[in-house]
Amino acid sequence: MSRADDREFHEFVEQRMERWRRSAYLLCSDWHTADDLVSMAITKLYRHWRAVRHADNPDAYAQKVLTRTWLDERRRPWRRERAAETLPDQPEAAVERVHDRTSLAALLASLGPRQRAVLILRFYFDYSAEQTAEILGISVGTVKSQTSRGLSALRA
Amino acid sequence: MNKQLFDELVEDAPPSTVDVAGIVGRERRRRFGLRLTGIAAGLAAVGVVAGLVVQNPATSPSPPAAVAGGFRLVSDTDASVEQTARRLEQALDEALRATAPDARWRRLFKHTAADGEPPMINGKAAADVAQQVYSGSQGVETGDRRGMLRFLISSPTPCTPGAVVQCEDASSMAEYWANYFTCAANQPVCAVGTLPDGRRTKAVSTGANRHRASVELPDKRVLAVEVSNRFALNKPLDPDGAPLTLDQTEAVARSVAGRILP
Repeated sequence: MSRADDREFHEFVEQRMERWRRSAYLLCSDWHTADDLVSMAITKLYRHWRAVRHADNPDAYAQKVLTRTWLDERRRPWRRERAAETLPDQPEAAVERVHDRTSLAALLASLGPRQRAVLILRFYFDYSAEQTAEILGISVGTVKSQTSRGLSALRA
Repeated sequence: MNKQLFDELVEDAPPSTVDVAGIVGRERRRRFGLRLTGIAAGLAAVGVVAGLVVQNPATSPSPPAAVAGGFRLVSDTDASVEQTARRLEQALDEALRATAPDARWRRLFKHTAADGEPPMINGKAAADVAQQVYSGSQGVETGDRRGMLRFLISSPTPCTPGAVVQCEDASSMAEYWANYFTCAANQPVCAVGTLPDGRRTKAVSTGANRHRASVELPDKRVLAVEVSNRFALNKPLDPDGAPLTLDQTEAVARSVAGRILP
């Protein structure tokens, strides 16, 4: 990669860093892990910079890399562990209504990683069902079905 | 659920710890290494063929330069930075093995060096020495204790472009530098010393959890090694303390600094 490419890459990353960090945090609910995810995504983007640069929509390409990095990481056994001081004696209650940041955080925490990603891409980044399906590598029907719970919460 | 609620969720974002320059540096080094491997393989093949054709001892290649000896911090081009960074990695690895034979390098993150390998040190090419920086981090494990070793070569001299500490006027530079290797009142566990060639050293400890050793380099930059009980940002601190003692931390810093030639 030439120095001009490097400069272009740095500018690309710099302009989107905060958006990626916010996106990663919404996915994983932890700023340290979010920064790890963004670092991994940046590494992948650098390795495939020419493909990113020539993509029809570089932003969507980058979002795809970031989201899939999260999903890949989430499949690792140690990522599935959640530390807790005490064991829950009751099942977690389903979130019925989303009216503030606390209930939104609870809703996101109650969802699986892919369903969480669907809601974030659809409702926060305004991607269409088709774009969301492309980013996540799933069918449009799956996106729509996984969106239904979020919509139900909206209407509650 | 609307955008505003999402924005409220992320409004307390802490400062970013994403090191873009470090990532790019590592990737450039990775590519450089792959190219070198290819070139070396090609040269080896040519050498074998040539050796079979012409038996001429006068043409045998010279041995690699300064594998176990000293080296200079050459940082004027990307290639020289890569070479210097690798020598620093090797020196750091050997220093740890000699100082703490039971210590092991441990991978910190997915894209850092693998288990058993020293930190991937990244450097920055620049004409001005004050702007030539080398840094790297890697996990260290000794018995049940696990933490992180951070390595840094930088110019702490103020009033110099690119220096870690800036100042408003050049007159305070001499005083700042003169006091750099002295122990402050709020550093109860602190020792200063000198190397045989007169270069100054300083070792500071914050309890059992964090040790930092600094050594003056011939060009007035500082080499620092810091060892703490923090293995990774998203992992709990090791309650048993840092994996190396202050003495070991200082020995590692002195060993690496001792191999850097003027």
